[in-house]
Amino acid sequence: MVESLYIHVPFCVERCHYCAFYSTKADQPAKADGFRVALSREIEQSAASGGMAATLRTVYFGGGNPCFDGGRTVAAVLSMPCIRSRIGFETEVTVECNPESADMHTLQQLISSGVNRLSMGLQTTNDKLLTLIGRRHTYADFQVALSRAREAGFRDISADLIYGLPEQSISDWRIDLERIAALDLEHISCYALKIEEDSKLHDMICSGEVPAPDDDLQAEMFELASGVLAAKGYEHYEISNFAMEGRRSRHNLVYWQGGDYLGLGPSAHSRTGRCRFWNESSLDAYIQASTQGETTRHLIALGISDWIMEIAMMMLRTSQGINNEIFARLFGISPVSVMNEKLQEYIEDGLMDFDKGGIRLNERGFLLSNRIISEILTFSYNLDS
Amino acid sequence: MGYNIKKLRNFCIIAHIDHGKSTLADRILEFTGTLSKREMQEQVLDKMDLERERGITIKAQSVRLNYTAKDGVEYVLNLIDTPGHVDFSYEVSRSLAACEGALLVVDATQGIEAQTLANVYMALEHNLEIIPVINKVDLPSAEPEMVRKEIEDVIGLDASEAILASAKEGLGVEDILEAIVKKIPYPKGDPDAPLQALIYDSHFDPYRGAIAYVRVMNGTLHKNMKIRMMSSNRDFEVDEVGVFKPDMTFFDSLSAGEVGFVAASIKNVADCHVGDTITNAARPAKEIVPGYKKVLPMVYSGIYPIEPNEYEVLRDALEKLQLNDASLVFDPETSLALGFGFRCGFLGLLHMEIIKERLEREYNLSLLITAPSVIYTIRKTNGEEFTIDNPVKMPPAQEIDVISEPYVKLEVLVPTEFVGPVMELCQLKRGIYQNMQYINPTRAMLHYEMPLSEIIFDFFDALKSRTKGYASMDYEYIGSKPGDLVKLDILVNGESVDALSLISHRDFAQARGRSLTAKLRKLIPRQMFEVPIQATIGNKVVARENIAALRKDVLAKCYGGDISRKRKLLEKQKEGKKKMKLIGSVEIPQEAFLAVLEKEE
Repeated sequence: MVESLYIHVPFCVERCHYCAFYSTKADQPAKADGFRVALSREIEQSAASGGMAATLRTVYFGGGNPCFDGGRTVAAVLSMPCIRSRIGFETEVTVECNPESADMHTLQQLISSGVNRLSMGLQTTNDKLLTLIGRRHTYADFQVALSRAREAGFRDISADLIYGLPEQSISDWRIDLERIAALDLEHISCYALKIEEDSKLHDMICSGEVPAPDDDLQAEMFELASGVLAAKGYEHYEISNFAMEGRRSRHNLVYWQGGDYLGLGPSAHSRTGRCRFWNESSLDAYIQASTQGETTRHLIALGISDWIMEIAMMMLRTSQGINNEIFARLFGISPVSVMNEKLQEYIEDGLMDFDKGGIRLNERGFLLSNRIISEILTFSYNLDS
Repeated sequence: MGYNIKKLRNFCIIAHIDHGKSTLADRILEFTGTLSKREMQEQVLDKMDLERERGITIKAQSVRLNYTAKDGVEYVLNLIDTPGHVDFSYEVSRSLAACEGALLVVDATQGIEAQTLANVYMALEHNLEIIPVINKVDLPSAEPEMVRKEIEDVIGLDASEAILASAKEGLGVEDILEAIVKKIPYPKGDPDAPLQALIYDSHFDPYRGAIAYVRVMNGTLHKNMKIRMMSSNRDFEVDEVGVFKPDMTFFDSLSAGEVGFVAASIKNVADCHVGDTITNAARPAKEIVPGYKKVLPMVYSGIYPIEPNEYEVLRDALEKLQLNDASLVFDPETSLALGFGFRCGFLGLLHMEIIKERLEREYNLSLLITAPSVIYTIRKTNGEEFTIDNPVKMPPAQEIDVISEPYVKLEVLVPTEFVGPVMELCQLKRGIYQNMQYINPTRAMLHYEMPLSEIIFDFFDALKSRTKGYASMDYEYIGSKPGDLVKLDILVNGESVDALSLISHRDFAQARGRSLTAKLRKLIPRQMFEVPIQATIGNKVVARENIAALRKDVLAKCYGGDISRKRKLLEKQKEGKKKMKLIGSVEIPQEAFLAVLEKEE
C-alpha cells in the first residue's frame, strides 16, 4: 500500500527552454476541466482499489505548473474525501509553483487546502539568463513571491537553481549561490543543466545560437555549490539537493530509498514493489480513456536483478547511501554482494566511504556517480532463476 | 535438342557497376523463357544478399538459355557471369577464357569507365568477339551517339552496329540475342579429343562438395568418369555433370564447347583451383588450358573478436567462408592489445570489406579489424630476407637494409576538369606519372605507378571526393620496389598498442601520427585519470595528444519517471562496455581501432 502520491498537472503558460517534462499549453479551460474530472476519477479509483494507505506520508504536485489555475486543481484534489481523510498532521504536502503564479490569493488557497511545503522554480538570479532560458519572471519577482509565501504562512520553502546555463560564468553562479544562501530557505535544489532532446535549448545549441554546456565548468560549479551551501549549514543529502536539518524532501526520499509511490495524471510514474507502471504522456488520451472508464496505464514487473540494481542505484544518490540493514530487509542480501572489486578501488581513490552501516558516495564521488555506479554494480549469479 | 557445337554460343557481359548488366541479364532470361516473369526475383544471378546490395557479382555462375532465332534455328546460349571488381581480375580473366564473345554494355548517360576499359582490353586479349550495347537509352540524359563514338575512338571497336537498348524497358533485347547468334563464333573444340575442361569458378555445396564451374574445351565429360586436376594431379570421380538453368539441371555428359558444372565429391574448394584444367585420368590431355596462375592475397588485416570467448565462433566462421572462397587465407595470430585472432589475406579492400560484413552479419560477430597492410619484403643487414604481412613483425630500423613494397599500375578515368586535382592526389600518394591520354575532349585517362599501400589507405574515397564522384579507377600489381618506410607505433597511457601500428613512408609518418593521435583523442572516452596518446617512430615521439581526466559524469535529476530511464541507460552503458577493449587500464572502444582505417582529412 502506497503512502506517497505524486500528481502531475500538465499545464504551462509556455514551456521553458530546458524543459522536457510532459505539458500542454494552459489556454483551453475546457481541457483543464476535462483534466480535473479525469484526475479525480483516477484518484477515487485508486483509493477504492485498496492500494492507498490509511494515512499518506507525502503528497506532491508537480508538472507543468500545478498553480496554473490559481490553485484550483490542487484545492480540488486535497478536498476530495478520499484524500482529505488520508492527510494527517505529519503528511508532507508539496506543491511546485513559479514566481509569476505565486500571487497572494493562490498562496492562501494552497495554505488553506493543506499544502505545507512550497517548491519554487528560480533557476537563476541573473535576469538576462532568465530570459535566455525562457523564464517569465525576474529575480525581483521571485523575492516578492518568497516574501508573500512567508506571509501566507509557508514555513517549508524550497527553490530550484540550474547551473551550467549557456553563457553563465563561474562568477555568475557564485552570485546566485550567495544570494540564495542569504534567503534563509529551508531547502535548495541545484541541477546541472542537461540538454534534453525535446527542448528548445537543444535546437538553440544545434543551430549554434548558444554554446553547448561545458562538463568541466559544471564540475567546478557543483563543487562551488557544495562549498557555499555547506558553509551556510545545508546538508548535501542527495546529489542535487540541500536541506537544513529536518527539512529534507520526504517525498523525493521515497524515490531514492526504494519506497513505493503512486503517480496520478498523464505521464506520472508509479512503483510498488517490483512493479512499475505509468500513464501515457498524453492529456487527450488520459481524458478520453477516463470517459470510457479506462486508463492509459502501462505496467511492467522487474526481474529481481533489475529491481535490486535500480534501488541500489537510487540509494547511492543520497549521502546516506546504501544502508546495510535496510538493504537486507528489502532484498535479503548485503550490498557488497552486488558489487565488484571496483568498490575497493573507489574507496581507495577517495570517492566512496565504507563502514559498518553501509556504503556511500562522498562529495567527490557524487560528481562521478554515473561512472562509478555503472562500474561497481554487478551480479555474480543470476538472481532471476 | 541434341549436341551440336555449331549451335552453341558462349558469351559474358562486360559492364561497369550500375551500367545495367544484371538488369540486362534478367531481360535475356525472361525473353528466352528461361524463367517466367513470376519466377524472376529481380536480378536472379546475384544470389547473395551482399551482392545484391552492392550491385556486384562475386560468384561467376553461368546460365544456359535456349533461343530460337529469327531464322527459326534453335541455339543454345551460355551466359557466363563475371565478377565485376578489380579485386577479382583473375576470376574475370578465367571467365572470359570460357567465352567466345562478350556484350559490352555501356551506360548511355555515363560513357566508358576505367573498369569497363580494363575488362574490354582483357576480352580483346582473349580474342573475344565484342558486341557493343548502349544501355539506358530511354533516359533523358542519354547520349548514345557520343558513347558510340567513345567506343570507336577509345577502344577502336567498330560501333556502327552497336545495339541501342534499355534493359529496364526491355528494349533491344531481341536485337542483342540476334547479334549473339550472328556475330559470336561458335566454340571450336573436338568432342572426341582427350578431355580439357577449364575451371573458371566454383562454390561449395554442403551435400555435393565443391562444385566446379567448367567450360569444356576439348573432349567429353561423363558421369562416373575419373577426372584429374592437372595443377595438383589429384583424381576425383564425377558424381554429376550438368548445366545451370539457372538452377542445377543434370546431364549425362558435357562436350567440347559446352559450359556447366561438375560435382565430384571434392571436399574443398581449395582443390578446385580457378583456372585449372580438368582432364580424364584414364586418358589425360597433354597440355593444360593456358592462363592458369595461383592467386595471391594482396592485402592483409588482423581480425579479432571483441569478446575473447567468441574466438572459436570466429574461427568456425572463417572456415565456413573459406569453403566458398579459396582466395581467403587466414592464420591464427596474437596481439598484445587484442588477444587471440587471425591474420587474414584478401585479394583487395573490397574483398576484405565483404568478408568483414559477412562475418558480422551472418555470424553475428563483433569484430575489431586492424589497419590493412600490404606485404613488405625485408632484407636485413645480416642478409636475411623475408616478407611480413603485419607491421608488428617489422624488425628494428637499424637491422633493416632494404624494405620493398608492392606497386601497381594505376589507371584513372576522369572528366578533364578534374585532371589537375587527380594528378595532385596521385602525386601526394607517391604516384609516378606515366602518361595521359584524352579519350575525348571531355575525358582523360591517367596512367600512374603507385605503391599499393597508398591505394588501400583511402585513395578511392579521396579520388571520388576530388572528382565529385565522376572518376573511376583500375589497377594491376606489377611488382615490388624499395621504399623509405618506417613503422609508426601508437602508445596509449604509455603502453604500445600493437594493433594500431602501421607502416608508412617516412615523409608521411609524422602527419599520419598526428592525424591518428588526434582521432584517438576524440574516440577514446575520458577515463578517471589523464591519458596521454603518443605516436612514435622508433624511440622518437612524433605526435602527442592528451585526454584530460573525467571530472563530471552525473545525472542531476532522478525522480519518479526518470528512474526507469536511468536503469535502461545503465544497461546500455554496460552493453557498450562490452564493445570496449581494456588496454592497460584504459578502455578503448571498437571505433577507435577502426579509426586507423578512416579517411584522412
